[in-house]
Amino acid sequence: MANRSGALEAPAAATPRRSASLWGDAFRRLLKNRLAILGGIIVAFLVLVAIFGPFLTPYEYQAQDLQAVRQARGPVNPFVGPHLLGTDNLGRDLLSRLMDGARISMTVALVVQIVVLLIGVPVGAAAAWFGGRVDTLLMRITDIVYAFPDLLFIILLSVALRETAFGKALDGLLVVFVAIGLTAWVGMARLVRGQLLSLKETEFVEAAKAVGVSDFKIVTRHLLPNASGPMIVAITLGIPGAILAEATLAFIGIGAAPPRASWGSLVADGQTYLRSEPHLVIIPALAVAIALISFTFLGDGLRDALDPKLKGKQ
Amino acid sequence: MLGYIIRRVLWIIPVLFFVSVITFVLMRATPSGPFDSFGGGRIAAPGVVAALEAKYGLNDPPHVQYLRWVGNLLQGDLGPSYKYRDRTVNDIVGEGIGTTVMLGLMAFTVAVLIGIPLGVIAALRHNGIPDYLATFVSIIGIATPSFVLAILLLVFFSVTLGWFPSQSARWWDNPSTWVLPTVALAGFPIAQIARYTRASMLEVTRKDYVRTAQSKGLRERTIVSIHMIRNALIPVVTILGPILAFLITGSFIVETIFGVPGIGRYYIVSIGQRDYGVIMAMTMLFAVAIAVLNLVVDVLYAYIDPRIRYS
Amino acid sequence: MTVTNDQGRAPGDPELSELPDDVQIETEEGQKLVSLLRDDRPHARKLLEVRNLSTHFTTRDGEVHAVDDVSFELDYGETLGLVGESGCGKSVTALSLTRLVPNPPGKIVAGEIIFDGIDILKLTGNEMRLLRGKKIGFIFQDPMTSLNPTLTIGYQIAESARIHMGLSRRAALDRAAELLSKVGIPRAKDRLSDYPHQFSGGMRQRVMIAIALACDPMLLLADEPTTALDVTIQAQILELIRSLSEEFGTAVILITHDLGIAAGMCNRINVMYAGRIVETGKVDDIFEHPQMPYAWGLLDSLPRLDEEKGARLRTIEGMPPDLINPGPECRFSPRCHYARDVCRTSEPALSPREEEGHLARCFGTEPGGWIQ
Repeated sequence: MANRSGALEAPAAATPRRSASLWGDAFRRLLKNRLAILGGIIVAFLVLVAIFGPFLTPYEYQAQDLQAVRQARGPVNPFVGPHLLGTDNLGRDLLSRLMDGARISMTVALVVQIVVLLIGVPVGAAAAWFGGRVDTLLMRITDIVYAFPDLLFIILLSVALRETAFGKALDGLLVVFVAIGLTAWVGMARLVRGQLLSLKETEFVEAAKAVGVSDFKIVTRHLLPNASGPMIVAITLGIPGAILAEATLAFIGIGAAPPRASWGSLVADGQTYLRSEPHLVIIPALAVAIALISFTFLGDGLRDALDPKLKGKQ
Repeated sequence: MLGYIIRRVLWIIPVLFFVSVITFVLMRATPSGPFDSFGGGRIAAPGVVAALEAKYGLNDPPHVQYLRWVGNLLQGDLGPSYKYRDRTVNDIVGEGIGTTVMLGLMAFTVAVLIGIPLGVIAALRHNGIPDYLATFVSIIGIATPSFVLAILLLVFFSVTLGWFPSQSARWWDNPSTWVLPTVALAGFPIAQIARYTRASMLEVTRKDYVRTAQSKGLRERTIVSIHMIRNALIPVVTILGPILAFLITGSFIVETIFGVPGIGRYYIVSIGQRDYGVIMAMTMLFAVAIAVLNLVVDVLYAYIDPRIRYS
Repeated sequence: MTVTNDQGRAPGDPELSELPDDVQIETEEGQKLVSLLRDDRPHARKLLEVRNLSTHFTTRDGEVHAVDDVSFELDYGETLGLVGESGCGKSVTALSLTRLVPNPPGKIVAGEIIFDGIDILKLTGNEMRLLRGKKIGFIFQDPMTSLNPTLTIGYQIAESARIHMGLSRRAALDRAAELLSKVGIPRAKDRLSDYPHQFSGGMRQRVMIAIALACDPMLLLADEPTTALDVTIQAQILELIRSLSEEFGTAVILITHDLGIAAGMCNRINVMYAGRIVETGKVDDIFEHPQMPYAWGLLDSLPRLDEEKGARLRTIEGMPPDLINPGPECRFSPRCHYARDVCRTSEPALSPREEEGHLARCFGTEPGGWIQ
C-alpha cells in the first residue's frame, strides 16, 4: 500500500490543501459519501422530531378518537381523514404515536451510549494504562458480562426492578436503557484498551511523562483524544444495536408502560390487524428500518472517513 | 494449544458462577414470588402460598437456596418448575433444547452460506451490479428486525400464499415448517456476515501480498481463492461465534411467533411467572453456549491464521 | 538455474508444455510470446525498450502524470538503476513494466514497452500472466507485508514454478528448497513449511528474492528492496541480488532513492525527477560529471566519509512540483540555483553530453550553456 501510493504522495503533498488536519480531511471525505450524508440528514430529522415532537404532534399520543373508530368500524385507514396515518383500534393517532416512538428511540440511542461511555471508557483506559493485574481483572469482568446472554439479562433486570422507583422512571424505559447499556459497554472497553495500548508506547506519551504530566491527564488529555475517531465510529455503529434491542424488548412487552408506545410495541399491537390493516405494522416497522439504516450509513461513512488505512483511496 | 484450551475451559467455570449468582440475585430482588398469582389472575390464599413456598424451600435464606441449587445442578438436577408442576426443568429443557439448537444451527448455516459468497462477490465486483445487489440485501437484513421479518414472512407466505404452515406444532414431521423460522432468524446475520466479508475483502485487495501474487503471473481465480479469501475470512471468523450464540440464545422471539417448540419461548413466560428453576437453567445454558462458541472461534482463528499461537 | 529446470516437464510436447492450460493465446504478440517462452536465448536487440511511456493516476484533484514520456533501454544481463526522490515515478515505471499499476486509479496512457522483442502493451491480460513471474521477477519494498501471512514459505516459492514450469507439487517444493538455500537460508528444507511471521525482515526479503527468481527470469525488478531493512542487512541483500543476477545472467532494474546503492550495483543509472528521466548514463560518468543540478543535489545529499565530523547533511530544498498540471518549464527549475529565464519558459530535451550514452535534461549544461 505504502509502495503503491508512494507515487502519489509527493504530488498530493505539493498540492495546496484547504485543510490538512485529520478532522478536516475526514469531514471532507464524509461529505463525499452520499449514503452517509443521507443517513446524517435522516438522523438529524429524527433527533429534531424527538426533541420538538410534543409541540408538533397533531394529537396527544394517548388521546383516543372514539368517534372515528366507530365510523371506521375498527382502526382508521391512513390518508383519509384528519388522521394522516390513521389510528389504531382504540382511535389513537398513529402519527402522534410514531413521533412519540421516535422520542423513545432517540433517547435509547443517547442514554445507552452514555452508559457505554461511562463504563467502557474508564474500564478500557484503566486496563490499558495500569496493565498487569488491573488489566487481567478488568478483562475478566468483561468476559463475564460478555458471556451473559444480552437480551435475557435485560429482561431479567427490567422485570426485577419493575416495582422500584428506578424501574418506573421514564415510564419504565430508563431501566431498559440502562440494562441495554450494561450489556453493551464491553465492546467499547476493549476498543479503548486496544487503542490506548498502542498509543501508550508513542513518543508523545514519553514526552508528557518526562515533563511530569499526571497519569490522569495523560490519559484524558493525550490518549483518549487520539483514540476518539474509532470511539465515535463505535458509538455511531452501536446505536442501531441499541434501538433494535429496545424495539425487540418492546415487541415482547418489556419497556414503555402503556399508553406510551415504542415502535416495537406498535408493531406488536398492529399484529392483530395485520391482514385488514397492514399499515399498523408496516409503518412502525418502516420507522425502525429507517432509523437503523440511517445510523448504519452514518456510522459506515464515519468509519471510512476516519480510517487512516483508507486514506487517499477515495 | 491443548494447554490453552484447557485453561479456557476451566475459566468457563468462574464465568458460570458469576452469571448464576447475578441471575439468582436479580430473580430474588423482585418483591413478588412464583406463587403470588396463579394462571387466570387468581390470587392464592396466603396459607397455600406459605405451604408451597415451604415445600420448595423458598423460605430458606438465599445463600442456602443458592447452594442447594448448585448442589442439585452438580448432580444433573435442574430442579422443579413452579409453573409446570407436572414437569421438572430437566424435562422442559430436554424437550426443547434440540429444536432450539437445530434452528440456530440451520439459520447459522444459511447465513454463512449466503453471507460469505455475497460479500466476496460484492467486493470483487466493487461498485458493480453484484455489489449494489449485495448492499441492497445487507440493508434489508440490517433494517428488518427479526420480529418484523417473522411477521411479514408469516403473513405473506403462510397466510396469503399458503405455501408454509404457520404453526410448527409438529416440528420435525414436515420440513416446510422450519423454512420460515430459519429465514426469519437468518436475515440479520446474512447481512452482517456479508457486510463484514465485503469490507474485509476490499481491505485484502489492497494488500502488498496480493500484488506479489499478481507479479507471479497467477490467474485471477487463484489469487482470489488462495491468496485473498482465506485472509479476508480471518476477521469474519471472529464475528461468527457471537452470531451463532445470538442465533441460539436470541431465537425466542422467532420461536414465539412461529410456535416453534424450542426452549426459547419458555424464557419470557418463566421470567414473568418467577419460575426460578427455568430461568436459571436457561441463563446457564445460554452462557455455556456463548462461552463454548467463543472458545471454538478462538481455536478456529488460530487454525486459519498461522500467526496466532496460543500458549 | 538449470538444475531442476527439466524435471516434471513433458518432453514429448514442446509446443505448449510450459503454458498453463487455461491460457488462450489471442493476439499476434501472444504467439510470439509463446515461442520465446521455450528458451532462454535473447530474441531481440535489447531485452527491454521503453518508448514514450506515460502512466497517469486519476485522483480527486485531477490526473496525476506519475510517469511522463519516459524512454529507456536495457541490455540483456545489464543492471540499471532508477534513482530519484519518492514520488518521482520510479516505482510506477517498474509497475508499468509488468502492467501491475493498480487500475483504477492508475493507467498506462501512452507508449510502448518492448520486452525481448514483444510489445507487452498489446498482450491480453491472460497472455501477460505468462510473462509475469516467468520472465520478469519482482521484488517489492516491504518484505513484512509482501508475503502472504497465511501460506507457507514453501508454497509461496513453489507457486510460480508450478504454474510456469509445469512442475508437480513435489518437484516445485524441491525447487523451492533449492532456491531457499540459494538465497542463503540455512536448513532450507526444514523451513519450507514455516510461515512468514517466523522469519525476520531480512530473511523475508531473501524469500522474496527466491520467489522472484523461481522461474529463472530474464529481468528482475527490485523496487527499493532494502529500504525497509537494517543497514547491515541491506548490504547482504544487495550483495545477494548482485551475485545471483550475475550467476544467472539476469538483467536487473534496481529502483532506489539512494544514489550510493545504485553506484555500487549498477552499470547504468537513470535519474528520474517529477515523472521524467532527467539524466542517464554510465555510473562513472554520472558520478564524475553529473550534468544536471538535480543529480548534483542527489550526490550532495550522500553522507561522505571524507567530510568533517559535524558537517550538515545537505538536502535539496523545496518540494517536487505538482504533477497534475505540469507546466512548460523545466520541472526542476523552481528548486534550481542555476535556473535562468529560459528554464522557466521551456523544458529542455534529453540531450547528449560528452561521454557516450550520457544524456541530460538541462539547458545550463548543454554545449555552450552557462553552467561549467
